[in-house]
Amino acid sequence: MTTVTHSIGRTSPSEAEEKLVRVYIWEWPVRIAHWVIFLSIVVLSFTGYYMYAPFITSRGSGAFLMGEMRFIHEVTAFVFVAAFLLRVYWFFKGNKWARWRQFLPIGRYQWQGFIGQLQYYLFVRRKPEFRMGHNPLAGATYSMIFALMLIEILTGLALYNRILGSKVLGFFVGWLPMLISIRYLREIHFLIMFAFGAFVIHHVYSAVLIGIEERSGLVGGIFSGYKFFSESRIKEDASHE
Amino acid sequence: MPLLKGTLAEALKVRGVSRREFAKFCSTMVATLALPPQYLAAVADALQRADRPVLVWLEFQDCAGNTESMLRSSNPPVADVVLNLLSWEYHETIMAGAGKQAEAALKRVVQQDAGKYIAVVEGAIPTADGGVYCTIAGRTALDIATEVCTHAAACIAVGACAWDGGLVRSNPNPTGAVGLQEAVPGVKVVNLGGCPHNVANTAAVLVHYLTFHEMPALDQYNRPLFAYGRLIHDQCERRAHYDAGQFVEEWGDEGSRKGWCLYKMGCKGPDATYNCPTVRWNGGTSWPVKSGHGCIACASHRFWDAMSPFYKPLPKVPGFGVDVAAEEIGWGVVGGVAALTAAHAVGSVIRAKKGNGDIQKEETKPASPQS
Amino acid sequence: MARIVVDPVTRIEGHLRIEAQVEGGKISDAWSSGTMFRGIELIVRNRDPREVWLWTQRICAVCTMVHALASVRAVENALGIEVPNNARLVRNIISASQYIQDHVVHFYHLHALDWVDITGALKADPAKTSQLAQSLSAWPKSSTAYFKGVQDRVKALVESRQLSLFTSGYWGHPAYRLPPEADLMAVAHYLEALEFQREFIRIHAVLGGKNPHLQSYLVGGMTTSLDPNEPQAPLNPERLDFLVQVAQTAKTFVDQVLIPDVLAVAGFYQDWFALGEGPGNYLSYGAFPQGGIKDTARYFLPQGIILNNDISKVYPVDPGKVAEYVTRSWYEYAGGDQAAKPPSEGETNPKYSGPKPPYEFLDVDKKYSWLKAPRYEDRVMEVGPLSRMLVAYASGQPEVKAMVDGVLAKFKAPPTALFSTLGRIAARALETQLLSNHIVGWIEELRANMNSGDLRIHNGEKWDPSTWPSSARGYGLFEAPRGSLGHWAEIENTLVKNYQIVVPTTWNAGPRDAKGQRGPYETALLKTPVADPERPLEILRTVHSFDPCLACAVH
Ligand code: HEM
Ligand code: HEM
Ligand code: NFV
Ligand code: SF4
Ligand code: SF4
Ligand code: F3S
Ligand SMILES: [Mg+2]
Repeated sequence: MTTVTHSIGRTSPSEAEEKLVRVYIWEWPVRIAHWVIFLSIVVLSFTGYYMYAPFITSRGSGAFLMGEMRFIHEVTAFVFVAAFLLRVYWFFKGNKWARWRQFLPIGRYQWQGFIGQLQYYLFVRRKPEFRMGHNPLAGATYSMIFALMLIEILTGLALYNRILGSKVLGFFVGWLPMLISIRYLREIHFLIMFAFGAFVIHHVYSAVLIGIEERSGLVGGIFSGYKFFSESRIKEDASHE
Repeated sequence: MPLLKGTLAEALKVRGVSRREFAKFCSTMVATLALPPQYLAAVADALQRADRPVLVWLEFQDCAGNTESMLRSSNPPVADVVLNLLSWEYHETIMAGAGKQAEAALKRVVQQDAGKYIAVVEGAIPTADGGVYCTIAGRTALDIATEVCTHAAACIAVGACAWDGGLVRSNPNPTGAVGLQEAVPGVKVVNLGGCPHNVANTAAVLVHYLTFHEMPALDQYNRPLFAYGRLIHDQCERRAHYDAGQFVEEWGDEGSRKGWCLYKMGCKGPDATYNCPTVRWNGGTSWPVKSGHGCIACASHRFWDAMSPFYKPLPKVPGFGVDVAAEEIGWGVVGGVAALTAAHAVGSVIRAKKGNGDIQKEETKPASPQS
Repeated sequence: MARIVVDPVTRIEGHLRIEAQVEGGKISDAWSSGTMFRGIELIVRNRDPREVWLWTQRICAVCTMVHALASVRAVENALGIEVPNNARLVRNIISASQYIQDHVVHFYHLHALDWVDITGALKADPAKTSQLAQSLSAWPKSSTAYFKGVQDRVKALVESRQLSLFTSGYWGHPAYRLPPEADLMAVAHYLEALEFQREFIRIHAVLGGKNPHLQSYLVGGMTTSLDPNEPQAPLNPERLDFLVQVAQTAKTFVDQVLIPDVLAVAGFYQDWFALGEGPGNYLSYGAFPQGGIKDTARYFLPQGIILNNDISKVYPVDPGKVAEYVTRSWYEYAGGDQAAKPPSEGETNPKYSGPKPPYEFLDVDKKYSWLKAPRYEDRVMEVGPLSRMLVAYASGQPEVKAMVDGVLAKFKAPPTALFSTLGRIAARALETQLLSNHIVGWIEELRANMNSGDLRIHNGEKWDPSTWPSSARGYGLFEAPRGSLGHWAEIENTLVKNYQIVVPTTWNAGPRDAKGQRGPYETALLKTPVADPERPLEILRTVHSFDPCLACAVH
């Protein structure tokens, strides 16, 4: 653990004097998964929206615009699935901040953090909840986002398999169109795209906001893996192992 | 005398169906059923040995579209052969007898051929107000359907109305109409959706039943997979134009003359399964998209309400009125979150400004409940 | 005095019930009741008016497309849309082929068995049948061997003791009068007509994607774009060739089979020229515009009204004078059930008050039908081919005049003989011939337009609902095969607010009105002889001569 002095953002008088410690929070699989997921969602949303509303059309012959969009969508979809699976693997293999427990508000400590953070967002409380990983409210939001990703993948694969007709894929998603007709699968697949859009707005905003509040270098953390904490906070976090 | 004496081969010969026509019919049926070609012999053989089961065709809240589809099909002699495959003992639109004599014909089948005949149902069945919205010979449709279908060996619902209530059941469903399966829950029904059904498929189902003594593989709605298992969009001859991004943008435009994709005009092919593009209509002559109009998904479940408005691309969210597309809801959510976030940002800045003054006060409280 | 009930009336579309009082072997009173209601006028409310044609088309598939056409016309009328010439032509070609197909099926498959005893065919001498057929027409399928083959098929059918559709007919009824040879010929043509109609209707598959329920109409035109150089255009030279080729088969079949058969059968039943007279008032909205829809003077089948069987005068039609009674129908009007309501202000509030099923008889003194009772200036009107041919005849349409006079001369009958059961059948056959004479010409007109570079098929100016006024009303009229059809639409804020449909069979099969006036079926059945009340074949003859369609009538 390296220690450096650090003083961005507003600081509380007591903490301002403390040394900040650089802690490795987000291991590479978390970071890789995060950014691959982000980039592929951008590409999938663009190509997906085009499939819904082909806003660019081609009059010439030899054009293959929709086909290209679909192709990009499908290839990107598999990159997305790979990143998703990597992240899921890391739910079980990763450090304590990456583990699945971080995503569910279970236990008193988690639950209080959840409520506390909610109060912070509703201007009831002055300061956000302190956690070295993400706070329990964010964790709960992320688990919903992961669930939506899973649904998006399942519906997407089911739509894809209407064309591919693969038995292997059919084993995983063949039951879906039997349960929900294709028209609603498309609709679910389409609507979740907007849920991602809404999420990103909130997500980036709160990352910046909390980063400023905590002066933990939070935004940088998802690039580098490191965040900065006072030693008292690290101790506190450890007390809740 | 439940079943006809004599075999189909004799019956066909008697009715002037030649060997060649019969062979052609069998191979069409095998192709429609998507059976491997080695089944051809089995089908031909079974059909020639089959006794002619009795068929009764009931019409309730219908438009006779499925009857007409049957009569107007010019697939090899499908209508002929189907008429010849089975003894059609009751069918109001075309039967000779009327009134009492017709009633008696139906009664005789139900009593004498119980457990052996095939019941085909066309049209929805009204359940509101004691079923007064459809009576035949003074009896309600529900009464007749229950009696005839519970005594049948097999029941086939032809067309959207008989399957799921169809048009008659769409909002606000003034007569409490439902499809056969819902009206007579005990019986096992094979549903042949479509508005109307394509008789090529119905004939194939009958042939399958006569050959293998069971219905073909069915999907979650009890529709045969061979006909309802593939997306229209994936079989459409205009698909290349969809992939190329070439769309009809206005009715009658250049794209419409070149046969480009109708997606933007509301074609529901991407949401609908049926075998229209391959089997086609009226003896394989054409199908809706070929005449320049989008598919309205007429073989999909509750399509009248689920797939309309027909001139707008899906998705739209049911229950939100005619005009609300899923897209509008989606952008609404994104916009709403963006607005809330912006408002929150303003709040945070204000808090930050004010905050510097009461840091002292804040710090007297614990930063988290634990500490 | 006996009460006869015929329910179901078969070989029609839909659920019709006839109750008749028989006194001294003749009908003294009759009630016509429709026993099925769906509520399509209510279902299309709050929907996009541009797609209502898809919904209303499903009122009926026997006359498929007619409710599609009336519906797009109603919306076009409300929004002030003129359709391009090519769309007019495509609509006319579709309609003309609908008439031909519908009329042929009606004569052979719905009506013929009222006049032809299938079992009579067993006794026929095939050689004599061949002579008979050849004396009537040049139709090639007329050899002794051919008729022998048909006879063998009938024989086998009867011997199998499974008569299929022919079970339970009134075979051997004394009112059958054809000689066995004519029976056999008619049976052969019954089978041939089945084949003819299903090949012929491929015209609709080309122009509408499928039949029944064509899918190529649009408010403002049609989807069938045409292009002389595009192989994928819905209409191109190759597909027009196909249309012409199929249309020509109609002319041959109608000239060589239908017309000779109708004349031959009529010859044996001439007393039916004096039976089955309707109310004596005839209505036709006119059909097949030759220019703009408003230019009614140039309709191919003229618009007009004939009153009290007086064919020396033709009165103009004012759709505003149409109104519907529910006094004897299972509905309620907000202002009470005694006054009629014009469809522009029409209401559809179903309220059943008949006997609780299962029932034996209707309460014919009270409300007894799902049909409303349409009236024109309070008059009972008959609609259908007979009305159209009479209006055309009385208006001096030369082709119709020549055809009608020809038939009357053949039977040495005065024009008044047309006001009858047989008159309806003759008029329907002549109308079929008239249209089969012109359909090819209309296809060629379309081709000429295409070749001259006029490719317009849709008028899109008002396609976008944002161009519409906040409220609009309109009506669309058409002569469906069975008669005068009108759709009335009220549009508010781009959605359908009210929709009313007044249908040919509603005119003909409707019940009594507030004044107690009988509907046309009820009138026409009066005085009809009934030889055997257990087998009321004669009732079927007159009722079938109107070509009932009850799904249309009630909707
Ligand atoms: C975040 C991830 C994704 C987003 C935002 C997204 C978005 C979209 C959108 C908007 C559409 C057009 C839907 C329509 O027109 O109704 C679409 C279609 C499609 N998506 Fe995705 N998608 C995602 C992931 C996936 C995945 C993982 C797959 C899996 C293979 C997939 C496969 C498909 C397919 C096959 C279609 C075409 C459906 C059709 O033919 O109508 N998508 N996607
Ligand atoms: C669709 C897009 C995105 C999704 C689905 C997403 C999802 C997530 C998830 C699930 C986490 C938790 C880390 C983990 O345990 O895996 C996370 C963390 C984070 N994300 Fe994103 N993210 C997206 C886009 C972005 C963008 C555009 C930024 C840009 C600033 C960003 C910044 C961060 C930061 C700073 C963290 C760390 C939060 C902390 O330390 O508590 N994310 N994101
Ligand atoms: N009546 C009637 Fe129709 C006709 N022709 C409709 O307008 O039959 Ni179904
Ligand atoms: S499913 Fe369609 S075609 Fe069949 S009876 Fe119903 S409305 Fe008519
Ligand atoms: S016309 Fe319809 S079914 Fe065909 S490719 Fe286009 S959207 Fe798909
Ligand atoms: S509307 Fe129906 S007929 Fe076929 S093309 Fe679409 S499923
Ligand atoms: Mg009406």
